[in-house]
Amino acid sequence: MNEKSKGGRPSRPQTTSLDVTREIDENLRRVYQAALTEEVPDRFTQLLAQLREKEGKS
Amino acid sequence: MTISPADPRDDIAGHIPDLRAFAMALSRNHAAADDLVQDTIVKAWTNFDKFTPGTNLRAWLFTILRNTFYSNRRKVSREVADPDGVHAGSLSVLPQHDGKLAFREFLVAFNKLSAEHREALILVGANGYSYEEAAHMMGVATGTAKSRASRARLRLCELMGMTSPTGNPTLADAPALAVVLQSGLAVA
Repeated sequence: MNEKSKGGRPSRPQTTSLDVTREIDENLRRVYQAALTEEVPDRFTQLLAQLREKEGKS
Repeated sequence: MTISPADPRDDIAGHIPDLRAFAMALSRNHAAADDLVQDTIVKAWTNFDKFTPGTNLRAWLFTILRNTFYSNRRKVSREVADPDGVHAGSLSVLPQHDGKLAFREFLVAFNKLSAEHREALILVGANGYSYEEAAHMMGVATGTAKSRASRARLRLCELMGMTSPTGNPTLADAPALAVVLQSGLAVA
């Protein structure tokens, strides 16, 4: 993929260095984990029960 | 009893926390994320015959979720009004800490990325899916997934003020990022 940048700037970096990549990913895991550890609202267990029940009737 | 206890759809429940985490990263809004998860569960339940047994259920659910997200977005064609809402809220529980500001900075930068970039980073960076698996979920070629993740990381660095015009961003350009990591800040 050719990254022709505006203004004809010379070679933009294509990737982050390994250490930066690793540290970004570490932060991403923290962002994701924070959301992951939230308690699951009841509406989802109820929803699954409803779906199952609806099916039982049909 | 007509319900088999071995219904494979029972496994959906175990993936809900991940679905919510992925949905929040995409929609950046709690209410929208939970609506998205709800739609995903209903679609997965009613189309379960399309799931190939023995393949990765979470990846299948993620695919439904992200497809739903993008098709809703096309329909509604508006961005969620509260981009910082989700993660800013979770920050309030963090202790006062040197790392707090830096992590907030990371979140602000992350939330400024395009949905496509956030998606690629969450799948590859946070979940550890291979580029091939991520590409499959995103419905693109493996090379596209790879370059999307690369560009997303570069854009993050740019947003955090790490970009040097002549070379690759390094940790020397990113004291904030390094502080976050050295602090061992627990985000849960």
